[in-house]
Amino acid sequence: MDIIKKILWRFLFAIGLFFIANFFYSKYQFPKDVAKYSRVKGKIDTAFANGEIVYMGESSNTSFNPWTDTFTYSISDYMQMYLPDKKITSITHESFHPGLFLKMLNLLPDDGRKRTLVITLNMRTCGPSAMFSGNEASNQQEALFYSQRLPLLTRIFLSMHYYDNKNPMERERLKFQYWRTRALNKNGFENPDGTVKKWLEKVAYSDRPEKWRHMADAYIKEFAFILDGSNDRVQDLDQMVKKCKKQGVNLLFHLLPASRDYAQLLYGNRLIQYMDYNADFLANRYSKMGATVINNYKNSRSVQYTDQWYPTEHLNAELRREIAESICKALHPNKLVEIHPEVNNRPNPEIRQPMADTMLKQLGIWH
Amino acid sequence: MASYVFYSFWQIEFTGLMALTTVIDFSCGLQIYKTTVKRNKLIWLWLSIGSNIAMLFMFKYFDFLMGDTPIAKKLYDSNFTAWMIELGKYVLPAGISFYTFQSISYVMDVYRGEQVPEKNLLRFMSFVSFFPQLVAGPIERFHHLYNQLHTKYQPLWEDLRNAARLLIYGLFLKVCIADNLAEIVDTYYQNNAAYTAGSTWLATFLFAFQVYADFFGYSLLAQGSALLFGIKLMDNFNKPYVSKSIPEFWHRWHISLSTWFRDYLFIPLGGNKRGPLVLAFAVMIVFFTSGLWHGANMTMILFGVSQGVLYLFDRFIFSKIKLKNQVWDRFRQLKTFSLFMITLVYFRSSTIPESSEVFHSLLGDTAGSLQLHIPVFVLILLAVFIILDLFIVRERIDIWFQKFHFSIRWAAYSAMILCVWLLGGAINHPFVYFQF
Repeated sequence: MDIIKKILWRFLFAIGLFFIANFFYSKYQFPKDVAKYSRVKGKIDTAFANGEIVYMGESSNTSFNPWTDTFTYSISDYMQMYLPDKKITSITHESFHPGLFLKMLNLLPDDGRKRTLVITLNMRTCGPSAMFSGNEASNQQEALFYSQRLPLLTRIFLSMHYYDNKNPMERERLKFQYWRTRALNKNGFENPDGTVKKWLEKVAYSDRPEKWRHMADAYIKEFAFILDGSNDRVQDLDQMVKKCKKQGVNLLFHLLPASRDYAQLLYGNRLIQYMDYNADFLANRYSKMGATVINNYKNSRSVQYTDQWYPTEHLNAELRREIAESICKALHPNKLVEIHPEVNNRPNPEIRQPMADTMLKQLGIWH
Repeated sequence: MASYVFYSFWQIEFTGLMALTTVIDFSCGLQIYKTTVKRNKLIWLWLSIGSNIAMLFMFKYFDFLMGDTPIAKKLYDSNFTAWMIELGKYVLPAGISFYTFQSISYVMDVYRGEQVPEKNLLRFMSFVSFFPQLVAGPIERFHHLYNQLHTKYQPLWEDLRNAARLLIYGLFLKVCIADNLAEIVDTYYQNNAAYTAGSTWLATFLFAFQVYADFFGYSLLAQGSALLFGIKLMDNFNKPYVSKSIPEFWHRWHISLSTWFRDYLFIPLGGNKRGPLVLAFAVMIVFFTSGLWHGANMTMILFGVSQGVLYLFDRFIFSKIKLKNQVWDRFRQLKTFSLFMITLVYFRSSTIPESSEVFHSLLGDTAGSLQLHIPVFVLILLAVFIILDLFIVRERIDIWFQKFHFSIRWAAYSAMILCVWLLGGAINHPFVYFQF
């Protein structure tokens, strides 16, 4: 009994110390820590506070093609041009994904204002390459600040590294394990290699030119997976739909285009089958759950991608504008103003982008 | 049971591995005790040692030694063995080097007749897996830990109070000193060629205190956690940076490993009783093995070998100079610290070329122009730690704290807690010794 009393006294002392420290920390140091450890948090607060429509995306929003784009407007910039009467803000950072968007929703102000969230659905972020990316620990560290908890508690979590802090090697192992163990020839899919690991080995030891092998390797790693409800990112998206419903937020997903042409060129239907299935899976799942889904998955041509040798969603101005238009049409079909797309994508005649398909054709590689 | 649950939180597969090692060593211990034929005892002993070495080889050294050989490729083709290779290549089973050594020490003690084997497997498992010291030591001996583990637990206020002190100070060392220094040292090592020679010296100096605060902090946390259950673990550090020679240093640094090597490798190899040649041979073998134990990497082997060379230099040459004055003693301390600090370049570098670049830079051979920056608060924390640890505190920290008046003690605890809360390093740096 005596011991319990002594422990209790010390416990109360620690609690008292915590609240006093929290008071001073919130007042003097927390804003500096936010600026230092979570540079995006300020942008999120501003975007939620000021936007009627908040666009949340990764690098696909702001990337541009240096060979062709005279105008470097982001997708959200184009949206603002199409809907000048609406205040559109954006939260964009490279390697953002649904897990982080979900945490950002904690920062939505409870001010009774009607908001629309436009969230990028990027198929690749649901695959093992992105899920087990080495950048994830720093993303998760930043995400500690996307919460309404006591500031000192957030600082303690930061000091104690209380977040998904797996190091790059651990993530690398999980990625290899995924490629080694997940069957690719289930649910009616046909694939003679069975797993990504075996497929990659075939690519590595094939007698095709190196250029092709590198590209095929990257495409298989990024797109050869089968989505289902157990996928972490899918679960995050599910949570987002539920949370937005609960908070009365209008939610719109837009499924990004994927460079299907090159996947087709490299491996024909063998790789495309997974991409098409995953795109349908995402579009159907969230339409059924009541979110608006804009499906731009097939609306692209290989020439519109900035990265020609590696699959990304870095799109040229023409495609960014088309995506913005499709989103705006879904949001406010009668409020779109006319913009002049012909001046928004004026190729620079001085430089020509080396296109992967030209190179592959020259090498005589057609599947 | 609790220890196994704790361990499985990280990777459930590793729990099976630890259980397997434990069962093998438990059985070998019993067989060694039962058999009266010396040759059979030896067979059981080597079966136990061999199985432990095989585990270490598969999970720790396979990739280093086998790399891309056809055998490695064949093993990676089978799902049954591929997971082992992946685990070994990317994430070492936590504490494998510690619990295998702890288990080997038990079997060796039984073989030597110094220990009666445990007949209850569960009780033996609790010895191998005792969670506070499972992942990074101290490597305990059976006779020291076992009796404490199976004595009825009676919470004592004195133990709880000391445990809290150890935990607070351990956290302070890890979170405030080691993690903050790690950020600076990592910044240097990410682009070491771009820094000036002065910055290289600074990074090397800071790393010496990072690794010390990190491992010393861990050891205090382990001792504190164990003391919450009334169990006293051995001290793993005893002011190593005030040592006057490398032999003395290794009596003060990672004491549980040094004594393990002394008892189970150095003495069986001949120790210091059979002349200088045998001694030199034994020392070099011990430090080579110690380097390899630290990591499956050439840099770690060089770290071990360099310690061996310095040890012999001190033992055969430097110790011959017999001077008795304060200045000479201080010089020896400085020399020992500096030599250890410089050899830590091997410990920190990932590759030989990287360590060689750092050594060149230490000698002024660098074109880098960047200066390493230390935040003021880190400088203050480090200064406080150095003054306390090297110059003021002579005993274990919980014992030292007892001397002070209540108000001073509590002010110190509060300051340390606040530092942990407010000034902890932001980037996650697992305990350095977790990788071993």
